[in-house]
Amino acid sequence: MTIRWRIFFGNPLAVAGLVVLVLLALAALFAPWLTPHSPTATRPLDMLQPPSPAHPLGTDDLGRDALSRLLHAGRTSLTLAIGVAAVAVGIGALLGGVAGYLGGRADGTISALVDTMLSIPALALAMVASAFLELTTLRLVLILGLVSWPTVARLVRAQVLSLKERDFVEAARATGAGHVRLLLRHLLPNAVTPVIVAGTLLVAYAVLIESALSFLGFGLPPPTATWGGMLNEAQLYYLEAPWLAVFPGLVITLAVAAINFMGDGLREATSGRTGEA
Amino acid sequence: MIRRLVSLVIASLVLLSGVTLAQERATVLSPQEPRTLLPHLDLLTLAHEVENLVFDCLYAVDAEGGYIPRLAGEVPTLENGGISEDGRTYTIRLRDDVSWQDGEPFTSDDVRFTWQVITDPDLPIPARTVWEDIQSIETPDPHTAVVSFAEPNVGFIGTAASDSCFILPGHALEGEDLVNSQLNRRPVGTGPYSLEEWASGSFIRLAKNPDYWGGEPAIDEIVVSFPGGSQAVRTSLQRGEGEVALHLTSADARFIDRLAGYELAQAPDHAWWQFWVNNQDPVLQERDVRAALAYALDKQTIADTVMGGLVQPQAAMLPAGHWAHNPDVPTYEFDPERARELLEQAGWVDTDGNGVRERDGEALRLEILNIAGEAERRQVVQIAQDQWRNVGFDVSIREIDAASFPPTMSEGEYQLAYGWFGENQEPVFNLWLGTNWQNYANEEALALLREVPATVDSEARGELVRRFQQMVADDVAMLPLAPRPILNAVSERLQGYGPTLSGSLWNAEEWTLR
Amino acid sequence: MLIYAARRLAGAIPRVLLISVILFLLVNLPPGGPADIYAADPSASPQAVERIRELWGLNDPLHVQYLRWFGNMLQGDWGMSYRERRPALDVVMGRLGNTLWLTGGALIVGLAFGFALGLAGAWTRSHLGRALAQATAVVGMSVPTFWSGTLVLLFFSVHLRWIPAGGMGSIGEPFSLTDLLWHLLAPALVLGSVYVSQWSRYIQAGLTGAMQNDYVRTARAKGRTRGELLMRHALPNVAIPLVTVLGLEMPRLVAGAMVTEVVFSWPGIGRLLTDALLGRDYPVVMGTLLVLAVLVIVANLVTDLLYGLLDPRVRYG
Repeated sequence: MTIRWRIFFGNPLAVAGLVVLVLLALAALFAPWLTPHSPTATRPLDMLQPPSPAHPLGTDDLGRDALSRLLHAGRTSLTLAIGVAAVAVGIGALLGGVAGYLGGRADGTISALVDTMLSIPALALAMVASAFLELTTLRLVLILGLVSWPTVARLVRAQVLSLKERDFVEAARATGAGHVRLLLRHLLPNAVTPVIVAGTLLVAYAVLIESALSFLGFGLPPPTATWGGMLNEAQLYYLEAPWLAVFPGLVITLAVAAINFMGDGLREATSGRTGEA
Repeated sequence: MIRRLVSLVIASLVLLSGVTLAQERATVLSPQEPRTLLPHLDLLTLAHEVENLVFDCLYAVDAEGGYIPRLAGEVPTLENGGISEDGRTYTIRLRDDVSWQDGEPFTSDDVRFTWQVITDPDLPIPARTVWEDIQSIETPDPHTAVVSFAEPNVGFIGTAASDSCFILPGHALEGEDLVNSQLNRRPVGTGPYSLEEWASGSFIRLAKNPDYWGGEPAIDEIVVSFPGGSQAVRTSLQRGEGEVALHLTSADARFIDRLAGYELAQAPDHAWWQFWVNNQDPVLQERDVRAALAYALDKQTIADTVMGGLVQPQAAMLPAGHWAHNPDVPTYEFDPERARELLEQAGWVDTDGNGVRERDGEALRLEILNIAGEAERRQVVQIAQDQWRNVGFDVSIREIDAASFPPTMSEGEYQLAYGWFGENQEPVFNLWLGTNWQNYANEEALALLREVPATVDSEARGELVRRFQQMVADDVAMLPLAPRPILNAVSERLQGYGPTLSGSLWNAEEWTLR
Repeated sequence: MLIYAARRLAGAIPRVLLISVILFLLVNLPPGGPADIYAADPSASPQAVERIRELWGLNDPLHVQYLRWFGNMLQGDWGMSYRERRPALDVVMGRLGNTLWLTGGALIVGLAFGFALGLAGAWTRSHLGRALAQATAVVGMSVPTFWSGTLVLLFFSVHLRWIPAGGMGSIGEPFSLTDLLWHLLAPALVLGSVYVSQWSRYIQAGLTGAMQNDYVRTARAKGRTRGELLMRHALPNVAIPLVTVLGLEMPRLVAGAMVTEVVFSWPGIGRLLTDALLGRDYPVVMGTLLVLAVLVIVANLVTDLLYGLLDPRVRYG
């Protein structure tokens, strides 16, 4: 299975998603050059100002420039989400691959674990872990990765199961390839495409779950800005400074929708439609 | 005949509907829900506020800061013989017209029972100060309690009028497992209102106690509602729902100013915000470094902005409203240049130009401990972080939950910590003699404090406390920021609302609705 | 059918066991623990804290603690809530019904509008219309509910005063069903709207697929109108994939409800979990998580059974 880029680029929504995402990523990357203000310098006397030419998105409750925080928050939120997707894909591909390849008891155990993990809302698990541990960005990535891998595992397992009996695998086995080699060199590479699709959608999911976590008050400590964290801070002022709540929410929606459009586009562009992810 | 009957029916219907219409209700909005309404088991101040509706104390503090009798018939003094000459014995004459909400009479046994509960080592009671110094409580008759201390103690009346003052029903709780008692959710008190319904996560409904010793309350029903956090309380106020809103943030104060139909009511309180400083931390044990922190912090701007301009910066350990406050301690006015000089002199120099000072290859690092979840705390801590960074500290913030804060502090696992602390009308100095989280080791200063409880003369006592404040400020043993007022919003409809040191709801029996 | 149900039920038991182990470790492994709440008391001596640790068996090995905890759970003893000082079982169960109202409301909203949009999407022949429906669907599921919920509150409750500001009933008023439904309206719409878009997509895809079936073609040849074909012949075919999707979506619906409860001050188990976590109320945290998991497992079971009912090819036995 390969991605047929012609189909992907023929899909206007997918392309729009890609463009928006690239723009968001560039804005986050070049944040320090795009805005003259520091995201952490406090100016209490200028707090809660409405949007103006000097501060296009207004200022927050510490007089910090909201635009500059929004752009810097993009760095954290996007990196974090990609990290989460990477961790989830890593664990999911490995466990799913092993389950599908070995079958039998290993499959039974891993599948039971996957089913179990899927029956507790990931958000609830992440809340518990974040509440009981002192959060750092790395820890948050690990926590969110550890609660999001089961969908990937399920997908990869199904993929490997269907590939296992194919001729080229049989051929490799006949030449005496070992289990590890078979799995890593022959089976997993052939499951890459659906995993890419699932991973893309996971990035969107991670943006949402991180912001929900921050919104509930279980996010990263200050002064680190994330989109969800900004929404959480804006909650208190939504009567007098609604703009503080509007823009981070808009950006979250925009980013998540863009990634979802891209993911859908990728899914269509792979020959087989994968139903699971 | 029939006509008469009809008019009778109509009359009674009018009467009935009149009765139901006349059901007056006051709604109190609270940002947090109490966990228990059994007094003494919980430090949460919002629980104390609601307990005030159901329970009574021996004494209360009035609007002028003076003591008034409640369950006690009079305030004991040296003059009326209530306090013995040596200051060790208090003879309390109780009212004889008080009964519990279940009909049982209130007696001196209840006072003794309350003391036994508060000092029971097997119970998780957070605050036992003064009560634990009591040697015995004798009950010669049902309406007299004689409280004896081993050492002279001036703190008793203040404590019996403070947060830990509510008298418990001995007859209902004797022999009960208090921690798991049903009375946690269905309290029985002597107060003006009794609990009718507690809908967890939503509201507590209380009905007036028609037999209240202080007279029948005017308002039939009080509902304490928990809309779900500060911003939800604001939304309710914006919609005009609620007669009183408890414990607003300073940010809310600005908002109330612009809101028709409500005004801000500040309840007096001897509490203040401060940075705890770990005086034994390798970096912070130098006075110059602590002084640099004090000079680099712009308290005035924080008070004017984040704290809504409702308070003035505080320099002494006790806030300006307290009778023993010392107005003459050094203030360390905002002066970042002076802070930089002090650090330079102490050998902390930024040699590599990265904005952070070093000495002997060691960077000038600080971590501020903070309790997660409160907007105003987050604001202050981030401003402090920014301002201390400006003079060359590398400052990070560690946020933990409220329950982990005290154990972290008591183990000394912190450098700076932001929080508030409250003193009684008669200060007991738990901050220094009890927890001493700041690891303050100036023996000369602490010796002054030990003299305080036995100094019966209030002039001399005040002098001791003021000298202590001077020494703490000279040593920069802590960084006081500003008083922490208790802010409530009260509707124009509600008459007779008068918060004092005794609480925001202490006189609910005097409220009327317009 | 009964045997099938019983087998499904039996299959869920190891899952519950595994969940209980995971939850127990998750809550008990991190440093700090239940006894720290009492250490929080400045006047509590280390001895007093130690006594509480001993009293609660917190010094026992982890597996002993787990077995004791799980044994007690099974007997309905979930421990006392540290915050509310009444049995954690009562605390959690007292909130469960409220969450069911909310998820139920959202489910109805999601399905009703989902079917409406899905049918409209399948009915229209316009390519643009379909693309538009798909785009709305994706954007719809990308909007965070805590954001849209806040905006709904700001606009409809604070500015227009059309809807209540939150909670399950008017303050202090006696319970009435209309009052409850009136308060349920906004949170159910906000939570349900996330799924409207997604479900309408499935419904539309299912309908479009079904319209290509032979028997539908036959019916069309008999002169049935497009509307009739959709309603009579294609719609029943959508049920099976939809039920599957509903089952898979349950954890996310419950997670969504947790967030929505916080926005709309709905006193359900999501808000309970948030409060219990902040207050370190361990028995309630454990109870809530277990109930959440069981909720999802039961939903999955129901899905399985419905699946069996709807699809005659699934054989019981």
